[in-house]
Amino acid sequence: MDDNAIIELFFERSENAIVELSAKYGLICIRTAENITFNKEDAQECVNDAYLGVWNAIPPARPKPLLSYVLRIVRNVSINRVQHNNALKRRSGYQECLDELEAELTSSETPETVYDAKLLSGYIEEFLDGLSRTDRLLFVRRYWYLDSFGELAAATGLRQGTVRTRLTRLRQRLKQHLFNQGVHV
Amino acid sequence: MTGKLILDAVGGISDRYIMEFVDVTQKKRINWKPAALAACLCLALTAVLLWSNGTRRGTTPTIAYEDVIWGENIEDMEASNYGDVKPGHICISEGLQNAFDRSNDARDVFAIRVIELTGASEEQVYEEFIKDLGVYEEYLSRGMIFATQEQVREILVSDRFAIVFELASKPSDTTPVGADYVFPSGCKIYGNLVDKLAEATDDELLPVVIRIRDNVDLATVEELAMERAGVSAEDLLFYENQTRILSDAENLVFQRDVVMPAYDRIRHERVTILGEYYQQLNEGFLVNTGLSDAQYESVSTLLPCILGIRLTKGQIYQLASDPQVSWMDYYEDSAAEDLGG
Repeated sequence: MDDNAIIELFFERSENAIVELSAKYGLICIRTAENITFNKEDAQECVNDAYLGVWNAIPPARPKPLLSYVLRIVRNVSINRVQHNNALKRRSGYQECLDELEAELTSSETPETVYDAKLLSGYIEEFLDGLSRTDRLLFVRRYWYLDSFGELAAATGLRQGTVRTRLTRLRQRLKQHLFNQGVHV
Repeated sequence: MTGKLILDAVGGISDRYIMEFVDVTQKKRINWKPAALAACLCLALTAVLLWSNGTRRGTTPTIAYEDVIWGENIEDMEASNYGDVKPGHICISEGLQNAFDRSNDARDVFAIRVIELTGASEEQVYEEFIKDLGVYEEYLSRGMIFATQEQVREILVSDRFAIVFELASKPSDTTPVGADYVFPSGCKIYGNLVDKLAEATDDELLPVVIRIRDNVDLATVEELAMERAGVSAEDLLFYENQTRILSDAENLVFQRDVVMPAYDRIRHERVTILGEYYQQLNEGFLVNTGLSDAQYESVSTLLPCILGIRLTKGQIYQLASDPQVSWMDYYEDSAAEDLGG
């Protein structure tokens, strides 16, 4: 079923909307949630919560593309779940990525500045536009989808060590790019 | 600044980056030593073959039907409402898209039925569109092309045509169908119907599809539809620019409240205008040709087309000399067959 038809089902308030959404995008939603939570049960619950979020958002929203809209909700719900779990000291893919970025991109020497996340997103998009396709894949799949190094190695045909090295360089380049934009990290 | 803020900011990047890598297929790492050896062997082998057989350039490419992905069930091939495909656009049917989604190998070749919606003749479509695609095709004999997903993505069409790509079903036999016959009027009778005509008795009624020529100018229809919908070309340009400027959240609201309703109004007007026009054309054709009393399945309101009209051989030959008729084919109601009808 195409996305428009699924959205129409949501507009009709038909429960088949969730069934069709799950049939079409369930696997990728689960995988994204698992990457973040490192836990199958949590991932399933996050995806269910995300479906509920989609149910509440459509209508009035008519997202296009539907998939990235659903994945954003899955990602947000999963990150919230991880933050809750962190209080219980459970390790997650989110925490791993956070540690990497903290180590590379943050500095205690600069005064704490409040940056607008939207503005930062724009700078990151500029940074992504300047990357090769493989580097962009590595960055987006690592820090948006929170894929593991093993998955990235499988997806790119690179060795895990190479993936790690390239990501380290990418974080350094991002730091430089943000610095050039006047964002002091 | 915290890592969390950066991770949040990454979370806010545009859909286009998310969609670009939504599906990353796993690549196998290449072991270069055997690969280099294999490449050398291939080169040597090719040289030997070229030396012994002469150049192979100029041979007609062929395709093995068993290596191609075909539509397997009725849903794969089901024609949807394609009335709003605009000239210059290609619509991928749901069945074909599903087949693309199911495919795990970029080298998979799909059998694709090409449907043209502006009413251009097959020869025009072939000369101005199909011929230069650079893919294997059997367009004039079977209406099909064979292409990989990547090839399909790269196909562009001029404003002259509005194209639908559907997943084609495998022909029941792999031998070529009977030859098409073109009458002096320009009307083509497809091989399938030619075969049926050869077997039919004089008073036997054959179900036929009649495609009528029309001179509808879709650009004018579009202008009229926009005028009736109260949307100008400047408005559309403005919408396009806004989508580049607005944030994702603002864009969603803008799309929902402004852009979608405008396009819905245009589509509604376009379908109404074309529907009225085709209905008048199709019904006028039936009256003018004295076929109003003939039994038929349906008169299309989306195309200048009459489906499943039951005619004798004499009536078919008479229509074939009518310059209003673009082509005729035998009407096979595959859905009815599937349901045991």
